[in-house]
Amino acid sequence: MKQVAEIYAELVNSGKVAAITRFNLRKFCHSFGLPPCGISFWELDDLNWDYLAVLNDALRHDRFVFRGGNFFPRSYLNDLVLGVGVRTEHIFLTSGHPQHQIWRSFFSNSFAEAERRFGTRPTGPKQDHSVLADVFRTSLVLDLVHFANHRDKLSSIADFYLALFFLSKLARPSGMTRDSIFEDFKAHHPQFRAQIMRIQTTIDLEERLDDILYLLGKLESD
Amino acid sequence: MDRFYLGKLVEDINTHSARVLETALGGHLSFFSALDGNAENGERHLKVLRYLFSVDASCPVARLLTVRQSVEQLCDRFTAPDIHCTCHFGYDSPVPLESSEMTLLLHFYMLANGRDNEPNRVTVNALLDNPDNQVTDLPKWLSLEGLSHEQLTDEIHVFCEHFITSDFENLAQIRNFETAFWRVVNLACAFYETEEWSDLVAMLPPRFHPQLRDLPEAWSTLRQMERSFTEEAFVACSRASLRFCQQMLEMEGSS
Repeated sequence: MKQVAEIYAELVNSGKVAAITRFNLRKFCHSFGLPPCGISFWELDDLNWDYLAVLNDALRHDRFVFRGGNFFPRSYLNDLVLGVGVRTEHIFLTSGHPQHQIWRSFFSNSFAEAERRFGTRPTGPKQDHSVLADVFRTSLVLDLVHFANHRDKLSSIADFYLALFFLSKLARPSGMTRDSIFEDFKAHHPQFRAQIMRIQTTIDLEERLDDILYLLGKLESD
Repeated sequence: MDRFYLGKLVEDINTHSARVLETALGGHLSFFSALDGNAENGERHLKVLRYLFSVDASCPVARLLTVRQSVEQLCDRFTAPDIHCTCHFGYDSPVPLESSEMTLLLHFYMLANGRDNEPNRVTVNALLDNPDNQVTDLPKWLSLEGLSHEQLTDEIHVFCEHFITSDFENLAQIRNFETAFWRVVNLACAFYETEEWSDLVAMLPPRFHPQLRDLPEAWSTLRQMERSFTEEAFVACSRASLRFCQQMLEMEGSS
C-alpha cells in the first residue's frame, strides 16, 4: 500500500502540483477516540485537473478517500458516523483564496509538529484566526442538528470542535492531544477553569453539551 | 409539474419550514428567512430551497436535537411518488438517486449572530421588498452575514472540490453538477455585472473561447442523453467547467 507521503512526493516531483503542505492529524484525532485524518493544502499551477480524478480512482484501492477541504470537519465527521472505515484526506486547493489562507495559517500555528512540506513555496503571512472561532461555534450547532440521530457520537464531535475552538483562540501549538489542549487553555484562561472541569467530568450527554455551548457563548462575548 | 403548482408547493414548504423550526426551537429561534421563493419548471428537476436561521446562545441542546427529526418529518409529508423532498443542514450532502420527477432540497444555513438580529432583519426585509435584489445582491449579502468571505470564490471552490472528489457514475450527479455549474455562473454574472454566459466568456483569455463558448449547451446535451452519455463527453464538460472556474479565481486575484 502506498503511503500518502509517497504519493505527494511523486506529485510534486513530477510537477503536477507545485507544492503541498500536509498535516497529519492522527495523534490529534486519536486522542478523541476518532479515526485518523490528514489535511493538505495543494498549490496548483496548471489548469489540467484531470489527474486528480485519476488519483482518486487509484487511491480508492488504498482505502483513502479524498475530500474537499471546504467541508472540513463535517465530511470527516460524516465518514466517522457513517462508519465507512476509510482514512480521510481533506484537500484544500489553494489559489490565494483568503479563507484557505486562514485555514492554512491556523493549522501551521496549531499543528506545527505534524506539518510536512513537499516542494518549496513561501507560506503566507500569519493570519488572525479569531474568525475561525465563530465558524467552529456555528458549525458545532449545525452539526449537533445534523448528527442528532447519532447520539453516541455527539460527545466526541463536540469535544473535537471544542479543541479546535480553543486552538483558534490560543493561536499557537498546545500539543496534539485533547488533554494537552484543554489543560493549556485552562492555564491561560483561569476564569473558565471550573467550567472546563465541569465539561471534562460531566457524564450526562445533554448536560455536557449544554455546558460546552454555554462556554463557547461566554468565550465569544468575552 | 405546472409552474403554478410548483410555486404554490414552494410557498407551502417555506411556511411549514418556518413553523417547524418555531415549534422545535421555541422562543430560541431568533431569526428565520426563506431565501429562495422562485421556482422553475423542468423535467426531472432539482430545486434547492435555501433558508437562513439563527438560534440564541441560551437555546438548550435538547431543543436543537429535535430539529432534525421535525424537519425530516416535514420532508416525508411533502414526499410523493413524483416528488422527493430532502433536508441538509449547513452543507450539501450527496443527493440520492431517486425515481421521482422532482427533487426538493431544503438547505438550512445558520447565522452566527444569534443575539442581535435587528441588522439581519433590516437587510433581509430590504431585500425581500425588491425581488430583483434577491438574485443580484445575494453574494454580497451572504458575505456580510459572515457565512463566507467571498461567496463567489467559495461557491467555485465548493463546486471544484465536490466535482473532483465525486464518483462520476449516475445521471443524478450530472444533474447536480449542472445545477451547481449554473449556480457558479449566476453568481459570476452577478459579481461581474454581466447578463449572459457569452459576456462572461468574452472576459476570459481568447485561447479558452472555443471550448467554453458552448459549455452550457454541452451540459444540457449531456443531461438529455440520460444514461447513454459517453465518458469522453463528460470529461470534456468537466474539464471545461473546471477551467472556467480556475480562470474566475485568477481574475478575482488580479483585480
